[in-house]
Amino acid sequence: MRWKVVLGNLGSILKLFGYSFYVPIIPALYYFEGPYAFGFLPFNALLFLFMANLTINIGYPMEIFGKAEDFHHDEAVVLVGSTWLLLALISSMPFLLSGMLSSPIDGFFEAMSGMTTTGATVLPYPLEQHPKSVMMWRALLQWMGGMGVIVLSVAILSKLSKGGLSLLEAEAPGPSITRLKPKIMETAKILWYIYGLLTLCQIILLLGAGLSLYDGVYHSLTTMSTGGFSNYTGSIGHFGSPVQWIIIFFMLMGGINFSLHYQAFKGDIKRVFANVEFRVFIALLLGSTAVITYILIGTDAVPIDSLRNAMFQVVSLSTSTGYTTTNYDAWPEMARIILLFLMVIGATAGSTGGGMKVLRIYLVFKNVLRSFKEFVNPRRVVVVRMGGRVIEESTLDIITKFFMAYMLIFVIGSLLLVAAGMDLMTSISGVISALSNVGPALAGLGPEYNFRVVPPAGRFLLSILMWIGRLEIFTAVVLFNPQLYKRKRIGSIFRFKK
Amino acid sequence: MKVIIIGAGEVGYELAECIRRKDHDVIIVDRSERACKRARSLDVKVVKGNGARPELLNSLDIEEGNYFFAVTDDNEANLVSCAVAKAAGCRTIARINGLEYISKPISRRFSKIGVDYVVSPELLIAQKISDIIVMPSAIDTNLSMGGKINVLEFKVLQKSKVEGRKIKDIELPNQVNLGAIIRDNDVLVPHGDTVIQEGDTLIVMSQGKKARRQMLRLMGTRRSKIHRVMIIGATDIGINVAKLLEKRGIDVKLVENSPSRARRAAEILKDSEVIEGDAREKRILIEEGILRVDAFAASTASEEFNVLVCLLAKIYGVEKTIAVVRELGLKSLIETVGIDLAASPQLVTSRAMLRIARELNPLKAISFHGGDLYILETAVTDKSRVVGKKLEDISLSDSCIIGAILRKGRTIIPRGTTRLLEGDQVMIFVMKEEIDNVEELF
Repeated sequence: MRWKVVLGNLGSILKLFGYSFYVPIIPALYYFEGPYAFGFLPFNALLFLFMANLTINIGYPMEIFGKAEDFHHDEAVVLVGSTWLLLALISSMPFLLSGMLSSPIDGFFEAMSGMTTTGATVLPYPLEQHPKSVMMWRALLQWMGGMGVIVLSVAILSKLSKGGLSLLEAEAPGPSITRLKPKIMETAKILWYIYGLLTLCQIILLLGAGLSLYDGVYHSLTTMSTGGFSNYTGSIGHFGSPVQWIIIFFMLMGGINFSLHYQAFKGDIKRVFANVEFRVFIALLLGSTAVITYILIGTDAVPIDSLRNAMFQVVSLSTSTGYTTTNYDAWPEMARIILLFLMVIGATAGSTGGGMKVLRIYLVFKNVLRSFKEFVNPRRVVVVRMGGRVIEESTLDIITKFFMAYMLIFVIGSLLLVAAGMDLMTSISGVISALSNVGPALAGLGPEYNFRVVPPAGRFLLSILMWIGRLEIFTAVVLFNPQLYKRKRIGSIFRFKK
Repeated sequence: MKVIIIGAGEVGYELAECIRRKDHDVIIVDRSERACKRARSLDVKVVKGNGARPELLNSLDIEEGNYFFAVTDDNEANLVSCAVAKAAGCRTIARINGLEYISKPISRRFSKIGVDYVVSPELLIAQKISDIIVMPSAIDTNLSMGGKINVLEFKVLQKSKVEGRKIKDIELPNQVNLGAIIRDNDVLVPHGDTVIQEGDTLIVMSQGKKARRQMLRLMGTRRSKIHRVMIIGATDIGINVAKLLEKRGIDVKLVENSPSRARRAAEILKDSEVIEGDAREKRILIEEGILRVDAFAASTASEEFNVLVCLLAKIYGVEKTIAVVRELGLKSLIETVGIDLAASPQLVTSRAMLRIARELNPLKAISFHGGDLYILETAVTDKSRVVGKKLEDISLSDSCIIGAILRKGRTIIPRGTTRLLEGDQVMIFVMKEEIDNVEELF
């Protein structure tokens, strides 16, 4: 473990990240948000200018002091884990400096909730009262976190390209990363191009549906990233049905593996539909929508409203976006538990969505089925297949371990949240929501509630769970492995030989 | 014509034996002294040495239009020597062992690099074993005349429709001709008055699926469909038999002792059950349901084991057992002890190669049933003594029967009034000692 290598690369990423603070200056100037410095400059514009310079100036000496060498696997993991922590800390500053939040824990929560695309908020309601520039920063944070700040860095910084695969694997949602091009930098670029293109499409469609430029951009940034921040207290319920349908479609796009988007862009639609995970995901969504629509019919004025509400909530929660159009927590128990399970399962691997991923659940399920067969006849040799392809035992092993780790963290998290004073259902669903980066949960953290109801210790716990969930447990948890911080004895092998 | 055969193992020997009947100069090359010694008994030129070596290939004076067979155990040597021979203008055919290079029994995959045809013993035998398993009463099948004619062997069972009847009383389907009857290891050429007995093996030529189905119905007393098959040994052969059978919706159990081979088989086979266990253990065979299987094949690398485990399966009452055997000499012996088929990859390979090189030998002989009975394929030319004659006017001996005629791409099942015309391809069943007489006629 060479700390200087981690430090140097961390500095480079920080420097790059600093430039994103320039973006909110545009709405700050446009909306001319007070108070004014020197009588004419909007304070928020200065704030973001300051943040940009601060971040770049912290990054610069780190880069100089550190080493810009190729990194090993352990260094890549530490780099990714610490990048996310550090960036969340820095990103929390605009919320604090603008006076929207007063406690550093709240700032950290809001920034982490943004970057990890969770979408849970501690900003005081109504959300409409907050300055538009800082709110835009909040949406931008989700957009960058959606495809991943590391993927962005790899796409732009050529120095990261050599160890890039380890970096991407440490950050990417899903058990492995599909190389779209032989070069990892090209792959990262393509991912961001597709992401950007889809976001642009959504902006255009939302503008066409009558949204203002600000609202259109805002919600496009938080839809494609499956983030779920809205600048309205009523979330997407604020808008009419055409906007809701557009958003359903793009949430779904965000929840689909980006290598499939790439296939589709290349015109290979067949391969998209041949993808087993994609098919299972779509079947899951359609099935859940059908059941919930059936449950809801009669409660809404028109059946089509039931369908839209059911589908919106199903797609939003299973892609881990977390937008809402209605208070689903008031739905019958059956509908609520389906939504809870959808949150655990999450979206597909390689998408911007969270959760355990359909791929993993599917393989865990098939592995269990296999063990039934082996139990009946212990001599039988059975392999696990997915779409005709044989899955390696080592892959199954890692996925099983991931499943167990997820469960373990879920148990510990729920225990701690109950200890912090929340009730059982709220704790369980809240932990799942945070780990899966969804946002709203059930009961005391349902769509009507603000996360301010959680005590500060609980808020901190939830922000850490979001971080663990976004980095898919292992990348985050290894940072707490003391082995990593021990100095290695160099040359011990040679000593042994003497 | 000059024919060069590299490798005097079972395949090379069999090829040489069939080809040397005509006026071809056969040169056979092998590294091992033992193989060379055996080949010398065939009255062909034998050269000892490595067939892929440039000096040796040069010394053979290979010319334009020669046939070149490379049938050693070494894939790379086969490919290289074929490529070199191709450069000299030969037509080349190579044997490729294993499945790393090919996925079809016979393919032209390497024709660009100088090997006209490659033949896979494993895939060919797997095809044959699965054919035999699927066909309920047939115990051997052999496609001839470019795949247009099926040669089927049927065992006559007690209470079958044909048992105890004279041949002239049996209504054979239209496209079927009875070629020979094997009784107590003797070959009879059937006549109208011959009475079919239980235990006879009928050798039948049929054309088309319909005729085959009708024939099966005529012979059939066994269960009409095969449901469960057990295969021992996840070798390339075993896995491919399982693959072909599962494609036809048959439940396959593949038993393999080695964990890594079992795992590999499980990865390749989608619907078959792969069992890791030792087939020598009675308990395992019974627990895996040997008492309920309709057919049993043993395809491990050890032929003795294959034979023994097939005998065991016979004891458990499996109706159809097939053992993969490499040594050709043992074939008829094994079939006499009750195993339905001793499947030899080497034999099917040499037969397939002869089929590819059909022009090499206008009179082609395929030895059948342990070498006593031959099937000849020959063409009627304007010089033939039989051209223009009716079959009933041709003085064929008693131990010879014309099974089928291929005329302008169509197959004719011959009757006494059929006339032989120039350009006809004729398929003749003939006893070994009559071959020379028949050759004279054509």
